[in-house]
This record gives sequence, structure tokens and C-alpha cells, in this order.
Amino acid sequence: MNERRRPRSRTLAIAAALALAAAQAGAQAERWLHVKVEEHSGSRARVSVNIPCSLAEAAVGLIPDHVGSHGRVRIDHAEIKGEELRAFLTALRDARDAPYVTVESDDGNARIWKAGETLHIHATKRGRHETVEVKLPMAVVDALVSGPADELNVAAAMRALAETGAGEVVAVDSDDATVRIWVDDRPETK
Amino acid sequence: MSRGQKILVTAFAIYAALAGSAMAWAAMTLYGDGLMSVRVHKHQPGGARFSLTVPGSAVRAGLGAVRFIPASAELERATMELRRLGPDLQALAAAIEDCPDAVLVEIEDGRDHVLIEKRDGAFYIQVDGRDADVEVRVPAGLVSMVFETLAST
Repeated sequence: MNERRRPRSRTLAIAAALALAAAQAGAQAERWLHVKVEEHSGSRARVSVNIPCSLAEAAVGLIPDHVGSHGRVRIDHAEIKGEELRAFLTALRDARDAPYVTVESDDGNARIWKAGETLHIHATKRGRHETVEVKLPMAVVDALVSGPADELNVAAAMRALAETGAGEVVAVDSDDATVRIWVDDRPETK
Repeated sequence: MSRGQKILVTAFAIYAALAGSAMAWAAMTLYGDGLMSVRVHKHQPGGARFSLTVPGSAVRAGLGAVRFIPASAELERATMELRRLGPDLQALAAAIEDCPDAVLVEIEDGRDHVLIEKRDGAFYIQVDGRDADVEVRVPAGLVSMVFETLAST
């Protein structure tokens, strides 16, 4: 009877060890949101912001009342109606991989497409060097539209961004400045 | 040792223990929330050096005194806003306390250098400017306590 019990207790011990290891790995995997801005002209300012995603999520909760509440931003006052934006993002989430918006004008070009689990936005300005590149995991888009119809759930999007893992989210490159926003698991230290 | 001497020694021991406990309690109360410090150094010749250290308990007491401010429409509005933000402030307080050591913000523009850093359980705000250098140290627990107190206002 004792011999029968032994494998069970061993299994339990292994499961406990795995659970501990998983908990430890989870605790170590604190994601960091990094924002880096470098001006190429004027005072040539350099701005670097590095905050834990959990802190960013908590800070987003403090948005002023006229903008939103509890980390959700109202979009009814914007040029685009909240419901329209939400419908577009929801449709995009369920759609297959393809280019969805292509704009070519005298001012510049813009493209929005979906590839795998990522939503891509690419825009360039004509006549001068200016490129905007956005890569949003679809989980973040899902989280953005997870609130009421006229709101964007920024806090949930921040949480989703932390959960989906490392990577560059926004890159802006122009003659005036370079902007990069990315997520990883490395804090910036001196 | 005579009986009188024994009583005297016992009484002195009790007094010393009570005085020690009272001092320990006072120190805990005064420094339990850590120390907040502000240092300013002006760069001009003969520029002033200013240094201020405030126990966190003084900040706690200051926040406690808010309730004695006479009622006004503005105070009422602020209280309502704090009540609305209560849960979010509590979440922010917890996130601030849990924030690991790191350089959180760094700004450099050729004239000034601003650094906001969390180090050894405290937030440091350093401004190395052309005119003056400023350093502010605030214990993370104190920041968290301020947000907690505001949340429960």
C-alpha cells in the first residue's frame, strides 16, 4: 500500500515544484514600458521613460474625469465616433490577414494591415523624411475595445501589452526627432 | 545589598526600561515613515546651499490636519474627485511600493539633466541645472502612504 502511495506523493512533489517554479518565473517577468524620444534639432533633448507596466496601468487609472474614468478613455468627443472605431477594431480582430486601409495622397501614404496576431500601421509623409510604424498585438486591440461602447479601455490594453510580451510598439523616425515605445523585461539602471 | 538598595535598583531598572521603550516608540513614530529630504545648491559664486530633512511622520500629520480645513466648495470638489479616484489611487500606491529599483525618467536637453530614480526603497528626483542642483528624496512607503491617505479621504 505504501509503495502505491509513493508515486502519488512524488507526483505531488513534482507538481508543487513546478507550481513554485512557475510562480517564481511569473514574479520575475515584470514587464517594463519604455519610451525614448530624441530630438535631432533645437536643444537636442533626450527623454527616456522606463516604468513597470503595472505602474503604467495603475497611473492610467488616474485620468481626469472629463477624459474618462478608471483607465477607460471616452471617445465620444473625438472626430471619430466611439461606436465606429469600436466596430472597425472588432471587425479587424475577426478578419483574416490582409491589408485593410491604404491611403495615398499628396501629403503622404498610410497603410493598416493585419498579419498573424499583430495589427500594423505604417505611415510616411511625402516631401520629407517622416515614418510612423505601429505594431499592436491583437490581444491589445481586444483589450482596448473590452469596455463600454464609447470608451477605450486603456488600462486593460496596458495589461494586455504586458502579458503579450516584449517588442516594439511604436517607432517614429523623422528629421526632427526619433520616438520609440517598446516593452521588455529589463529595467533601465545607471 | 540592603533591601532599600534593591528597591532603588529595581525602580531604576523599571524607569530605564520605560524610558527606553518610550524613546524607541518615539523613534518608530518619528522615523517609521522614513525621512524626506530636499537639497538645493545654487551655482552662482557664493551660491546658497539649502538642505531640509522632514520625517515622514510630519507628512502623515500634515495630511491628517487636512480634515481641519474649513469646508468650501473647492475642498468639497477635491474630496469628491479623490473619492472617485479612491480605488485607482490605492492601486497606484501598491504599484509604487512594488516598483523595483530603476531609472524611471531621464531628461537631458543640453542645459539641464533631470533624473527620477527608485533606489534602496526611495524615490530620488535629481535636477542638475545650469543655475542650481536640486535633489529630493522621498521614501517609496511615504509616497504610497500619501496616496493611501488621499484614497481614504
